[in-house]
Amino acid sequence: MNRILVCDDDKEIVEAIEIYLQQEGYEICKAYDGEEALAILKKQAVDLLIIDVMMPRLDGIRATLKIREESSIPIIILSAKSEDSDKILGLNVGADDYLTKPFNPLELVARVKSQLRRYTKLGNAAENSQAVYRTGGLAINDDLKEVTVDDEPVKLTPIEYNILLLLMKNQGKVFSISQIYESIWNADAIGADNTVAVHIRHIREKIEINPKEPRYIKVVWGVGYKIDKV
Amino acid sequence: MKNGQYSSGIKTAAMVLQMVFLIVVIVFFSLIVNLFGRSMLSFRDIGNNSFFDSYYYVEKMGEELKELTSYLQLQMGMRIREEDKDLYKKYKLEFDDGDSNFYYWFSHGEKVYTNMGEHIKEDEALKRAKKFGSYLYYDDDTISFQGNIKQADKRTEMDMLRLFRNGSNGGGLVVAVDTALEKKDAIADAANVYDTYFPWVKSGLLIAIFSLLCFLICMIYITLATGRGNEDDKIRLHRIDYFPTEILLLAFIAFVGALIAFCARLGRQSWNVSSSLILTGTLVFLTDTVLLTLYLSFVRKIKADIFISCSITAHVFHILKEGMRTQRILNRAVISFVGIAVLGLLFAWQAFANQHMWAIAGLFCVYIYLAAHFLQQAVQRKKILNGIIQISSGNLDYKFHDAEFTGDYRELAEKINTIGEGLYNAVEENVKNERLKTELITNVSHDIKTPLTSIINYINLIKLEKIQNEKLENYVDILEKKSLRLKQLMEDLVEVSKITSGNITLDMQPINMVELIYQTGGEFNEIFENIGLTIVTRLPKEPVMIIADGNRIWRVVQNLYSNVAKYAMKDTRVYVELKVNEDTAKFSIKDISAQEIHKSAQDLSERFVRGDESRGTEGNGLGLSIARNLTSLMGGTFEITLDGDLFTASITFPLCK
Repeated sequence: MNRILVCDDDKEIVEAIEIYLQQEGYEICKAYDGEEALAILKKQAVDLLIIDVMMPRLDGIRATLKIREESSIPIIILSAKSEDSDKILGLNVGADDYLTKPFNPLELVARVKSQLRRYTKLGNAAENSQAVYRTGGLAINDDLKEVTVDDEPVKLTPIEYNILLLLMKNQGKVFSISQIYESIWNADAIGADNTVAVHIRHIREKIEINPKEPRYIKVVWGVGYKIDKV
Repeated sequence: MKNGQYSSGIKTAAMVLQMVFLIVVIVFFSLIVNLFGRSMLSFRDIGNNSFFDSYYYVEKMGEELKELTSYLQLQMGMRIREEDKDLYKKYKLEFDDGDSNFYYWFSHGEKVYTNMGEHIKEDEALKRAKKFGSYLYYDDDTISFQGNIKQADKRTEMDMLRLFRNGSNGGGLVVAVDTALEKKDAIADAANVYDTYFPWVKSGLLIAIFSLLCFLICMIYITLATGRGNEDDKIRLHRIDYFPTEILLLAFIAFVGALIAFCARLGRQSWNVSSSLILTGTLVFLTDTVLLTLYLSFVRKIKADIFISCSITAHVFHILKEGMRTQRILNRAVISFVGIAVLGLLFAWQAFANQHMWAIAGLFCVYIYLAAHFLQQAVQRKKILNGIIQISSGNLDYKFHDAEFTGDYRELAEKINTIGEGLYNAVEENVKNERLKTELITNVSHDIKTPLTSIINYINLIKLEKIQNEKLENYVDILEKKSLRLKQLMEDLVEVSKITSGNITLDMQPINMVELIYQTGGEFNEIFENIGLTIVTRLPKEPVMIIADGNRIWRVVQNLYSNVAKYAMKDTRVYVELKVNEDTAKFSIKDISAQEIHKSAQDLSERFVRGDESRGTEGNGLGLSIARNLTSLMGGTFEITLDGDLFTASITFPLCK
């Protein structure tokens, strides 16, 4: 049983999150500003923190900074601030994930699960095989032809698998559509079309929590696709 | 030092001093002129003390020797003509009556002529002559005159030599002056005059040089000090300074002219030394008073910068200019043209018909004036044009310097400055307003998002309750859809306000348009299939590179695609094209609108404008506005054309080399 601390100055939001997470079987602590959250963290062992940014007394960014002095629990920031600069700030001060309001409750649940799995299991999982490629919660085992996201197996078609493998083997490198086409189909890219793009979207839909804000397969618009090292 | 350096006491003292020094200089100068006029002075004499060394003495001796020669010639057996009798008597009186300091001994063989006493031999005469101090004798050995009397005149010497022409050997000539000057004669008189004045010349010269220096120093001080006071830097003007410059100049010239005329008349009469000195002093005093007053007035005028402006010419010019100014531009041009034309014709007629030099010079001046005028006009026109180009190209804080322009162009420049300022302020105001608007929208959107989060969450919770009521389920669906649209609307609103206020930073990179279109196609492929739209894509095979911000250009293309997805008629074809021209790439997407569009093409990309007006569909009217603004921010052009129901959106970017 994981204990999750939810911190937001809007009580209704805290309660709604509580309902969703309790349904998934988590134990919930509630705080309504940063100071309260810090107090609870001192008293109790907590496995994950969901925290708002704009709160009275102590805001989410400062609270995150203070928590990070002592603890490495997963922190998900949940904020109405949706600018890129806000997200970068949040992630830089030590948060593990950043979700903007209004959010999809199911997405929040999925992200919570993902963070917890990585925090509790993956951290000490040791892989020996050479054929395992990994970034964040995404792992691809070429020996078993198996893809897992946060330890959950994902089913991909052979072409999708090959595309993902290509990107995983060359993390950080951007592949254009024709490069992917040539290396997967072993044919010239003449007459290339949407095919690769469509496959990529399908992969994204299968491995990402929110395909519109992909964590793994990033689109570099007008250049190609890549998977970043995490 | 600063205090009191311009006090009126010092100024008065300086003026008195310069007057004194000037009088000294001029009096000395006139003395010298006077002495020169009497041949009493020569530059060679400076440094001599004795009369017998002076040039004046040499001159005098020259006269004496000339007379002696004539006298001897008359005496020597030649017949004395009637007309020479008076001269002979005069010489005899001069040389032989024993009342002369001048002694001579002459013989050309047998007869001896002398005033040194009878029966004196030549060598004895020479001995006595040497005793007298100043002497001259003919030396047979060197066949020349010897002695300490300098010879001034070669002719006299020749005449003297001619005395020996008819004589036999043993002749000789001895001349001497008794330097004691015991007797009163012409030489004694000359020595007396010389000794009276010459010491003055020497010391006077030093005094004069010193005085001249002092005079110059005083003048420099007065020139610097005039018009200034100790209290401030203001130039104090006297009543005389307000007289027109021409009148003062005229007075100056008239006075100098009168002075020269007067001096010339004085010079024709002969004056003795002392009275001429008194006269000179008085004249200098008067002249200096008048000229110094005028000179200082000029100096003050120049200092106060009214030398030109406070003149009749300037006044006349000013009146003419004002008259011209008040005339309308057209009248002015006509008057100027007629004036120049008449003047030019007049000069040309005189130049060619009568060949007057002044007419040719005048014609030349007219041409120079015309050239200068046209050049000036052209330069000013060019400057105005450059400024307007600057302003029209967006440099709104451009300003003309009034001083660079004259006449109408100055007025024009001032007015353009005013317009530019107005534009600048308007744009500044606008930018400020847009920024405030963006801030307001961003803040409001944060405040709306929090309750919206609760709404969405609780709608979701209701859905999880598995209500067994179809009606209620339907209502919840509507609530969900609308709340999600509200969310989208908020996001678009923030974005569009940021874009229109230019409040975003772009990350410009080389972008392959072909790749981008395929990527977009991949994203939309199923959405289009679901509503029965077929995409027909016509793209070049090779990459088409442009410079743009990848995420922003994706947003543009995405908006165009979703626009098609929202408004295109079902089961039709959508044409996506990328055309490469010489240096541009043009992306276009064409579809058949599902509903009749009542708006013009331009209105469609305005904020909150939609083709259908009914708001029944999911669009919010911001998509095309965002696309258009982003495109122009990245340096591209965005265009919408409507041909009946055929809707074409296109973006054009310059190719990246």
